[in-house]
Amino acid sequence: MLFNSFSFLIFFPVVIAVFFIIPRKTRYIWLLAASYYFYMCWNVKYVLLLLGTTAVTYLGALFIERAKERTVLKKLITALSAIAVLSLLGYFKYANFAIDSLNRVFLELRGVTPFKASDVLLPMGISFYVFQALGYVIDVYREDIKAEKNPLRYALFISFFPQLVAGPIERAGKLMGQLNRIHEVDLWDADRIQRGALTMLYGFFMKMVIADRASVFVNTVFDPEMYSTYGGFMYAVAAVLFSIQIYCDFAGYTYIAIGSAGVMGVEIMDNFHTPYLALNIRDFWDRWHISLSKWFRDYLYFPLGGSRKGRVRKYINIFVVFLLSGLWHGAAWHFVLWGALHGIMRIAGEATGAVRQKIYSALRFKTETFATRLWQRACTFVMVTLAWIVFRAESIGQAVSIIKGMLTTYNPWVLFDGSLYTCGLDEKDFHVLIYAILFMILIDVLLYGKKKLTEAFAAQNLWFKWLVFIAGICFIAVFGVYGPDFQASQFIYFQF
Amino acid sequence: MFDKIKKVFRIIILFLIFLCILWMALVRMNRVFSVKAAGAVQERFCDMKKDSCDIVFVGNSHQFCSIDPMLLYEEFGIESFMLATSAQTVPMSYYAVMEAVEMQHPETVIFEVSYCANDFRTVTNEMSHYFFDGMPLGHIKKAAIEDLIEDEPFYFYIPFGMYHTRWKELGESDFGDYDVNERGGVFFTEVTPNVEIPVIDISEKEPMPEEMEKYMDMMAEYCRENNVNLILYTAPFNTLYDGDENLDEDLKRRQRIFNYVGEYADRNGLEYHNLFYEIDALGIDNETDWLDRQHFNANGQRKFTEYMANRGYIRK
Repeated sequence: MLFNSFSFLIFFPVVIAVFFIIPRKTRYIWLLAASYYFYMCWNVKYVLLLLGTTAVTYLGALFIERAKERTVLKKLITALSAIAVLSLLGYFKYANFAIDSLNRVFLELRGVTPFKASDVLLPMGISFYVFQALGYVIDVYREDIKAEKNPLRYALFISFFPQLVAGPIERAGKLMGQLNRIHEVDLWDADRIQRGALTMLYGFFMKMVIADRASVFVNTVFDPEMYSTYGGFMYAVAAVLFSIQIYCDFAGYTYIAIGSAGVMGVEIMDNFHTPYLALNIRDFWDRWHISLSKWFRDYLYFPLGGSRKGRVRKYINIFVVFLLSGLWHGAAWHFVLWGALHGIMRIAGEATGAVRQKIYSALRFKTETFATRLWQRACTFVMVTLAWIVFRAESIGQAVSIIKGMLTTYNPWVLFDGSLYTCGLDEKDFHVLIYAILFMILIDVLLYGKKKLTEAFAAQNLWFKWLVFIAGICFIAVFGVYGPDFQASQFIYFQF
Repeated sequence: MFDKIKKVFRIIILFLIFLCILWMALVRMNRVFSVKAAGAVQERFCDMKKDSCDIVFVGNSHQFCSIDPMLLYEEFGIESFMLATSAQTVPMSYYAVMEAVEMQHPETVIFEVSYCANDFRTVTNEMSHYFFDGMPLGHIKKAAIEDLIEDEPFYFYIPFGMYHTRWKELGESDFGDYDVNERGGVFFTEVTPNVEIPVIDISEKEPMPEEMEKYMDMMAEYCRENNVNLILYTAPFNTLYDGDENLDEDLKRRQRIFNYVGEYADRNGLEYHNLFYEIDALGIDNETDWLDRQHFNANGQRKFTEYMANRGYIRK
């Protein structure tokens, strides 16, 4: 079940209504049942993977805790648990990638493709819940948290539906505690419910009005069959719109998750914090998919030695983390390249930092001015957007073609002669997209200034809050991208 | 404790008021965005006072272009409603009869049967909206959608999901009322001259498509069970398929099926009138009375309605 589906519009109010009606002590059981139903709406069979991951990590954590001072045993159990769940991820997400890569090598060398790809379906959310479960096991191993004894409570932590399929990847220390105290949540805290609902509404706006509208243009220009007919500024517009699309898609989904959990009194971590206002690549990764960045930092970068083993080792560690981050995002070489590009940009930014500072000092260049920051933000956005082309393209070859076409074809007139309106979005749709993006930027600027928008909203008079909700719902209902496309020609009066 | 109860009560009341306002806003939006031609008839039917019409007409565009329920009332004192909609197939007409009986329980239902010769349950998904939009939510709508709609049935319950993209083309008329009168009637003033009705006088019969006959049986049975008189008729037309090179053969086939409908009516104790055979008596002027080669315009509709009433085919 997707958040932006009509099923969810029925599912969510039912879950909330029952959640508040049933005895408080049974709330977690209800949420567990709802979460599994939520997952099974996508695929009934694959719920076994969720169950398997839950069972393995639940038992693993209990055994780790019982092993107490026996360090080797603890390590062994942790490693076995990790191997078990990562094997699931590896098989379902990366097996075909590995087979395809090997076949390509054999094809080049011997002209044959000896391996047959399996027809497994990528289980929804597997990358998220596997990492969340793995983080839990490692936290128990590190004795940061106690192992959860109640299997149902633990199953809820892994499957909690707001963040099950697209994160944020929560830490047990934060989420499990809240879920264990869910019976204490006050039904009649209107402010909390309003804050959650507003966050959800904004998430729907980002997803349905901006992301899904931008995707129409992006998909047209990036279409593998058609992309070669475009060039120059059309690629640039598509790349910028893809940057907007992926942000609004992912952050929108996260806001819906945060808001829906918030309505139930559960506070989920923020996963995005104005990423396109970042001053450099490092800053970007502190603001983009924060839960994944922190996961890699705590469970991979630090264990690899972090920055404690010298500068070269630090850069290697950073590069490894970004390579794996790329691979986590998708099983294809262009995702790996995307991760590598970010790794290189991140390392280059850090390695040249001191030199740049010296140059600025020598030139008496003020770095704390608005103009400088704007320039830094623009440069960061351009770098991130170029990398997104690699991410979005169907292959590395297509990405190279598009970047080459962008740099070698000079056709700025396409911005003015109506060509923009021939890529799936007509002029009116394009205008709606632009206005919606401007609104999103305004919100981001306010959030960047640490404005507590939901709190400020909750403090307003009731009539204003109602106005915002009703206008917001109506706006999304009209301008959201969903449903079968209406075509007047299909309604020719009098046919038959 | 009292304060807590007061707080809870206040929140519930406020929430209900909020839902009411939101609902009203969405209903208004739905009205503005919907295709005015679709949904109008059904909504008008819902607006009618209960048990206020003696006759309900069902069928497709041939029906509503042929009969003017307003004229029936003004000239003949007959209380009726036109529940026919564009592309209303025989199965849809069956559900329209159920709806008519449940909401108005008329004495008579008059069904224009030209679609009996067409073996389809729906014409297109989009055209089906003419029948379903505006139909009140209830067991009949649910049964009809489950029975007839295969693709995206959700949008037949909430058609706004499909119409919302019309924001680009909204005009003044979208904010106005439906152009269907309170008895569901419509008329068209455009004229197509030189339309000739070929009277194909053949005596052969050809059974109507099996599934259509099944729904006809269900309709007849339903009317019998509910003590409603079911009258069948065929309005004349030139062709259903402009430019069809097999036009003559198609018309012959339809006439054979209409002859079969006559036999079917006799078998089931129903009244049936094939107006193809009364074309001369109708007094239709082929230069002035046709909207196109299938449908009467306002002139033709008036003549046809008066003829049907004067002949007693439509009666109290």
